[in-house]
Amino acid sequence: MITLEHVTKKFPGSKTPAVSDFNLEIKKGEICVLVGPSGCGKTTTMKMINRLYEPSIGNIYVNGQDIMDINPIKLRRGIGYVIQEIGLFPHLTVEENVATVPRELKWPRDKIKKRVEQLLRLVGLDPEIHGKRRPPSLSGGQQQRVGVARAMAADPPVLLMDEPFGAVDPITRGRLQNEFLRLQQHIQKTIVFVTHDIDEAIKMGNKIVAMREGKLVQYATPDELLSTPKDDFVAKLVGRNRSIKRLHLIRAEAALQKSIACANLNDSVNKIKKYIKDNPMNVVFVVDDQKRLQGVISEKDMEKNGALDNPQNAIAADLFTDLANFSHHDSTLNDVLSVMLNYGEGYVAIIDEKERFKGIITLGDILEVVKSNANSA
Amino acid sequence: MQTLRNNWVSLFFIPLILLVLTAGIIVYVVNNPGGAMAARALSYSNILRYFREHILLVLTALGLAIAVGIPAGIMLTRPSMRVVGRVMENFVNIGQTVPSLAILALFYINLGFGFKTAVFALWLYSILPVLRNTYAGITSIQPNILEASRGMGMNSLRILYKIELPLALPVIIAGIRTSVVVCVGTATLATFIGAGGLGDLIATGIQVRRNILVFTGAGLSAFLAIFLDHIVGEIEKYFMKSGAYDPLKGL
Repeated sequence: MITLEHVTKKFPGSKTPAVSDFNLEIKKGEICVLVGPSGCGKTTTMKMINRLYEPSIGNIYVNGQDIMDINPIKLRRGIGYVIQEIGLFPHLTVEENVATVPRELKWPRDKIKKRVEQLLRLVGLDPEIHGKRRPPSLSGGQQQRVGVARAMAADPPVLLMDEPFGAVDPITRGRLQNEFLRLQQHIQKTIVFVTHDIDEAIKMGNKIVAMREGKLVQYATPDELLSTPKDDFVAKLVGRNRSIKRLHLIRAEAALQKSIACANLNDSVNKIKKYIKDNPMNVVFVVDDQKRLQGVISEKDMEKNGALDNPQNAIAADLFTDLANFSHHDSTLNDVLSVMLNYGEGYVAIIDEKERFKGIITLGDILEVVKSNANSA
Repeated sequence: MQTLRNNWVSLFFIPLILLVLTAGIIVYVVNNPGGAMAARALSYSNILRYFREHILLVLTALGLAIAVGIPAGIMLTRPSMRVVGRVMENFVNIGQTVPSLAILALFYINLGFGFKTAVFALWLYSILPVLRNTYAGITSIQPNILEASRGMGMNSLRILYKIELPLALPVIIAGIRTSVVVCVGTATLATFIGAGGLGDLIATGIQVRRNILVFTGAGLSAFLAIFLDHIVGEIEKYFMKSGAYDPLKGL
């Protein structure tokens, strides 16, 4: 989909090239992450793809076409672009921001309106609430979502993203990353993603390009990069704790214990007692009639309210306490592990996007998965 | 509701107060000139003539300053002119330090008496804030905003009037407001090269030692400055409402 052949970029006035003899082929539908320390030429490489910079030597092909043969304005309208600090237009509303490229392309008005609404919903914003607001009144995470929606407005097959999640706090960043990966499963764009954060690279990339001083050092899948770094530079880049980082690559579903019985809201004390006895963590999860997780009952909870003394009066709804140590089913094992450590519990409950209870993950489950993964790698 | 009332107050009420005060001053001084000598200068027809001359001077000079200053400011921000722009900015800043009276005197020597010379000098003097602020307003736009617009395939003309000008508008208007105030004040000096205006009242007052003439001239020109400044401010508000952003909220 995107091919770079012997690309070299030398800026006037600098002795060493910013990018030198760079070869890369990115397949359709892949997220290719360029990662490396600042000044390694990753942003320069990316900006050559939409001709914000023009290569000094070498050729770049997008969809088989040499980009130097395409009018740069036309080329850029066909490539989505999300930049550092987002770069939303502060004087335009969210809707107008998203409509930028369709307007440049002179789409009819009602088509633009429909597309904008569809995109805002796609990135998780309500067009009714957020559409007419201006970017400065949105939170960092919302601005980021608008930035992604704007880049996808004209449905370009290729997206360039330059540290798109750099400007938000770590918690929001994690959520946006998960959301974006979920989105990518539907939209299947070819994405060039630039970051200096190796964790982000490992999490987001189908392929990772490790760069140093304008040169491609290693081009590999995240797993290969972590298990067999090519040289000291890459080893240092991925860091000493690379086994922990591999947890970024494994989804919670892989370690899930699914056959966990749950109590209903109106289950009796005796029933709950039995559940707790059968449960490996000696707790029981309480769900409502749509299987949505409501809370948890431990043995300690049974003692309170005198439920043990008057078992016939109490039902599960009176006894459960809120559960904080839960995670979503599409989060990574790394997320699950941090939740586990944060709350000091031996397990994490996993729910799906509709808050339905899916199962639990214990520390043992994580170890098990890591072990089997290491054997297969 | 609150803002609606505020808008109404600033749109109609403040100009109305200014007009009433101005009319009040005129009526008062015409009826209480405090002597025959002042009474000769302070007739309704004289004062209105001074006013008319003054406003004509200011509006002509200002209109020309805006018509030249904004395009020139824009031109200096184009990539090919950036170096010239920086030189020009310093030149303009130095130009602003030349006393206004000196500018008038300078052009009077070369261009002679009258309205045209005064307009030329005022134009030259009031073009500076407009040009400088246009330049500063556009160059201070965050580079990532411009990069985003370029990266999305907008051409430079579209970027100029969809992105750069709207974002620079508050700064440009601030420059125009500075120009308005400077221009109304400086126009009182036009009397020295025979271009009339409220300066006539002040100069006469000094010559014949009648303070009421000086106060009248100075007071009326001050009210004119506030009035015009307010009008420009309202125009700015109108633009901001129709699709621009609040600069106070930041980016």
